[in-house]
Amino acid sequence: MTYLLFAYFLALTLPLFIRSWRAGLNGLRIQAIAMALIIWQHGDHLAVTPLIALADMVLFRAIFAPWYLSKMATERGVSHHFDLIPANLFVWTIAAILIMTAFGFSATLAGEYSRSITHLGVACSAVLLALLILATQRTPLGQAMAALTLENGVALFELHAHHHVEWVAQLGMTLVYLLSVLTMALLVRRLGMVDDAPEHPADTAIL
Amino acid sequence: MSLLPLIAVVLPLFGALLLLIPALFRHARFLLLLIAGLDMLALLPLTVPMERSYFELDHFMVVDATAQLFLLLINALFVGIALHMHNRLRAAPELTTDIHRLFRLALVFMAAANAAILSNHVVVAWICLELTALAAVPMIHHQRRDSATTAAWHYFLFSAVSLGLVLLGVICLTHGIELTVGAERVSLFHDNLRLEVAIADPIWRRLGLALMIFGYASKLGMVPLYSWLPETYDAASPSVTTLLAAVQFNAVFVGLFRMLQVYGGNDADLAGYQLTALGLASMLLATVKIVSTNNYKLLIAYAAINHAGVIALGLALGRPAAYGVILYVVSNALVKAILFLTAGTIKAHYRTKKIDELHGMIREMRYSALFFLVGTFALLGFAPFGSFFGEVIIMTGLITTGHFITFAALGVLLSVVFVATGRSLFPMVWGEPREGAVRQRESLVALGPKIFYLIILLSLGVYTPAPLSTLLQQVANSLGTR
Repeated sequence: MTYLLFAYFLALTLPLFIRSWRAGLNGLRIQAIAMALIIWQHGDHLAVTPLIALADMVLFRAIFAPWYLSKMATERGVSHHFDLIPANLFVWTIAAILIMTAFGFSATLAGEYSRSITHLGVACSAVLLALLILATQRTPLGQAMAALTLENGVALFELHAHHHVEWVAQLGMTLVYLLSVLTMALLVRRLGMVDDAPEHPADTAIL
Repeated sequence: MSLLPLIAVVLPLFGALLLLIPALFRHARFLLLLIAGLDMLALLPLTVPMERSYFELDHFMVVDATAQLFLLLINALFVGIALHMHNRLRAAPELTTDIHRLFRLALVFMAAANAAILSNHVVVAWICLELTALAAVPMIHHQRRDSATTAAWHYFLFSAVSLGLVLLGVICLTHGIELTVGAERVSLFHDNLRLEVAIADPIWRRLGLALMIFGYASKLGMVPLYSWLPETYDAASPSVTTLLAAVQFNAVFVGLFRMLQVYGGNDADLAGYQLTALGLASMLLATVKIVSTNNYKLLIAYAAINHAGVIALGLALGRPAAYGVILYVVSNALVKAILFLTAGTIKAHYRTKKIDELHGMIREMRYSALFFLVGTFALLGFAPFGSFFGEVIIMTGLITTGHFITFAALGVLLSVVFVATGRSLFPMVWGEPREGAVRQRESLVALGPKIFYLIILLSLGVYTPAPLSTLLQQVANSLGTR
């Protein structure tokens, strides 16, 4: 499983240094594929809950969400020159510190269960880096990618537990993810892909 | 067990499905009213305190005192919101364009909020809260203005982060339990969690609690992830704002409350410190903003953050202030509904949200001005409203448990808010009206729900009927062991 986590980690961190939104979306795709393979490796994918989780990873996280955002970015003619986080040494240093903090924190959490350190470290890194992207991004496309990175980070965290939630709950979580992507796409389309809309208060709502 | 409360979920969903039929679009406002009314009627038996009971849905849903109280509250609020929408559409038919979409979403929102309150399963409750947020996003930008779309986008992002943190907290708690009892014995039903939490791995358990409190607090609009709240409440239409401020707020509060019920007295120190810090910081921020704003809708929005802070302080104390917290939460929901709906009526008439442009409302819109005035009194915690007694009980709790510094800070902040709000809002009601002002006729249909809310608010302060008092006490008793 370690090589899958390593692949996830690369898919998480490399897009931060590559100036392209395609790299970000492909990163999300690889993260989802890595998680699908982790579920597969657990060997209990024939049970209903893991099967739903597997379908979620492959169909929605690896295929649908990146494809949909990519389609919209292409339609809108978004420039290929796109930084997920500001390309400067200061922000890269913060990203590096967050990753180190995540692994340090996971070492404390995992305690005697040292095999968990890598898994938790990568999951914590995903959550913290997603928050960093959200904090530094001004474009709806970048913020959407940050939200999806956060969703993936939480899902990776969830894979660390061996307990399976009831299949109804897993189905509900998949539905929430799908609806989130659709809502995100609707708003991103309306806001425009690159520039954030003006932040002025409303003045005509009267219903 | 009777399946009656399940109507609160099924009926709005059925209404939303009906609104997919084009022939019913022009009757949308009547349908919304009908569904809201029937829903409330069906829930009336819940006014009688009853034993904790489950639906035959594999125990996924539960009717306990908490569910009873908050189902009644949010559905009563929804009737008022439906009446307000009905009245606004009657007065301004140009607003009916695509209104069936808004109503469909409002019904889905209500079904999800009711399901979140009834849920006995942590993850199912989380899913339902997510669904309320996802239904709210298109409602916020229903009028398709840039500012509303931006607000909807920010609401969506903040919601994704805060509820993401809640889920992360649930996963941590699950893992903590798994480490001690084994994966196959973990159960995420609230009843079972109460027993499991006590034996869970303490590090994971505490991390889970900290994340859940932070996530829920952010969803309630507390610092540091608060900025979505004033922006969204300001940009959305008044009825949608009321749905968010009064209905969704309570559904999220129930999520937090149930988590604290599940934890019982475990990690009460961590919960206490975290809630106190978040509460005081939120109150401080809200106070500064209330002093500086010139927009009455924003002022009410910041007052909502301030109230969330008071609620957090009360929850931090656990059992000693529990009754006060519940009283305050219920009163707060009614006050926000009165103020936001009245603010909508005022905005529709004057076409401005600026405080300094409004004077002498009492001469032009007598009833709206009166409701605004009385709502402001209740907002500020005047006697004899329920909010006054809620605040008094919370402050007494702070004293009796020896939290003197928090008490002093709360007193100072509430006093500043008191002066700043009064200074801003009262001149809107009194003073010289604008030139050529004519007294407006105000519909009784629009005033009805506000009168009803006001009666409940007064009754919570002056005389609480025995069944309601028992219900409030039962909910309060379910919190913590301290």
